[in-house]
Amino acid sequence: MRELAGKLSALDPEATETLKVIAYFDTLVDGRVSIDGILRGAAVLSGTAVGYQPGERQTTRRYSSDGEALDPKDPGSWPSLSFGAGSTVWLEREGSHHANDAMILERLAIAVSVSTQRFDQHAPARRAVEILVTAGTSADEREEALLRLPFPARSSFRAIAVPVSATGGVLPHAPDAVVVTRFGMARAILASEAPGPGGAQRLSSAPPLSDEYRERVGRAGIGTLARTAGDIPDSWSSALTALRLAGNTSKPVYADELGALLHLAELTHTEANPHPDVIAVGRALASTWWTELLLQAVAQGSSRRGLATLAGVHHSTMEARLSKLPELLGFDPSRPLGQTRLGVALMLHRLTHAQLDSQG
Amino acid sequence: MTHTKHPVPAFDPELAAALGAIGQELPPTLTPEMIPALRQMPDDPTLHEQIAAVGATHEERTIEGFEGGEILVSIFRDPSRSTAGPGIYHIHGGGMITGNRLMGVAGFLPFIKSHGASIVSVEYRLAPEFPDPVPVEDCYAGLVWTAEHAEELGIDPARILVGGASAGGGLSAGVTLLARDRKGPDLRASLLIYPMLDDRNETISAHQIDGIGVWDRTSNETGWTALLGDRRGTDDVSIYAAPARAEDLSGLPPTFIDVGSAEVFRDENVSYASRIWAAGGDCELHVWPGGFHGFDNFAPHAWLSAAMVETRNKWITRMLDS
Repeated sequence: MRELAGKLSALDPEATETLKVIAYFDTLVDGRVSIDGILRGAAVLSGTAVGYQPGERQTTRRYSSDGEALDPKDPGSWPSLSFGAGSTVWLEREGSHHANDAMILERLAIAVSVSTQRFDQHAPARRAVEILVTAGTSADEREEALLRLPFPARSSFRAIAVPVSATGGVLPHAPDAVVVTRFGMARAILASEAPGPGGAQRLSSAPPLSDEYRERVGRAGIGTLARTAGDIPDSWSSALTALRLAGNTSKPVYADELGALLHLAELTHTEANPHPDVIAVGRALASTWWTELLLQAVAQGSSRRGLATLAGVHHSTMEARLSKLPELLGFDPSRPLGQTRLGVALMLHRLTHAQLDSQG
Repeated sequence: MTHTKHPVPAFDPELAAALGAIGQELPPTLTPEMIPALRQMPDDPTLHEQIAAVGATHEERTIEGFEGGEILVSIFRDPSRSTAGPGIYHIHGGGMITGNRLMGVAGFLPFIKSHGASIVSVEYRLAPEFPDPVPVEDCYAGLVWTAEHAEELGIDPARILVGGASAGGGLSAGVTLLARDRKGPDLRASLLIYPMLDDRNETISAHQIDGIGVWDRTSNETGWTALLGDRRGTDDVSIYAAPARAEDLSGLPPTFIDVGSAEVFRDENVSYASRIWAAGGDCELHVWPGGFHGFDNFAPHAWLSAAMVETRNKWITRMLDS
């Protein structure tokens, strides 16, 4: 029955045939059709040329409405959809848009995205890390995820949070994934930790947490020890808190070293409004007199002269500023309790304002 | 007999997606009352451009078909060529019940440019108005006419290829057998594109493709019954009408068969190739996994379609080259 059907061309330009479009791309993805096959299929289905650019400034791939390959050309101003790390698909529709164009673009983007991840050999490890750091996953899911990762049997784990922009070199062989947190995007690294000689703890899939490692890892939050896979979400949560507390330092913060402060910090995650002390610290920092470094020095009980040197002002000027501080803060930071309050308020202020992926 | 469901090879995903999107325009099951509607399918509106693009002209001739009936042939060739080239004698598909001589020709047009070929496509009379043996005998008459007019048509009589798709493939096989048994015309090659060979409709693939894909077992029954009437499936069917019934497949020209793994014709096609080999013959067989009937034409953008057409064209090239 050759040529009975003619061409598989354009859906009805006027009618939305959402289900048909979804089923079409699902069939291609489930059938593990190549990216070129998906692009050809989209071009034929839409009845117009389509294009795909895997990333910024990368070579584009284009197909005509009859599935022929076209010369590379940038998306220009065609209706397009971006996804993943800078990938773009577009439809080169001349004239008015068809009812299904937006849906075709969306399903095309999803199909290409799924398909590219499938060919990415790191994808299974990435998904495993995502599962392991997520709270509320089942024991079976965690077990399966662990099997995908190169950890020795009976190892303990540590989640490490680093900015998304920190890639490679941190722990070269440790699996990682970019995960969405309520504070923004962060890169989660999982390290296994096994008891070493003499009972010392060391990271088995990476160098031990030596000074050298501290230098290399840069700004990071090192999570608490997770003795089982089920404890990894807690380790990740502490790592995130530690990363947020790292501020603009270039050194890692160890959740283990935070002690009760970690507990306090994590409690504040759930609070919608900052504590008045935190607001007061913000007010002080907004003035020209005080910086975070100076207030930390105050909280640590530095002398007036020491503070004046740090601020680069005369000690009488510092004295005048210090005298206004109780009024500004609502408590007296020269007293022991006030020092603690200021230290905690500074920490909470940093948590409130931390940007995971910037140096400030 | 009791109806048992057979597992079926999955359709290739690109083909399945295409079929899912516009499948309702092409139901898998065609029944006799649908024949008038099937004959309303419009011709390819771009055929004229495609003919012009290869520097060819289209000429129609009325010739004598079976028992003196008049039939049309279309001739596509480059009139500026002075030397004889290969001849492609084309028989269109359409289940014996529909289609015309312009259908399926487009795929052969490039050989006019590349090989100086002349194409003759025959408008055989269709069943059920003209039952067996009219269609295959009309096709044979057209082949004889082509060979007799080879010089006038710019055809090298030593290089005539007969071929077609689906019913046209079945008729090509029948014509090839007639040419063997009637001692002419000589054929360079026989191109059987998913040919319709077996009226009995009882192979495993004929049972598998039931209510799915393209041209299912009911459609097949519709086509064969239109051609053979009550004789379908009986002993009273010639090998020229249903070449699958030929016991002896020796003495055939080089033959090419391609077919999808998910179509009614799969098993009869594979078996035909096997019997050509058993008789010491030359046959190239390609079974394309997950292909439904006519998939290369239905979804030409699919990888499998491109691979099928490329493979087929390489064989044609090899045959026409020498």
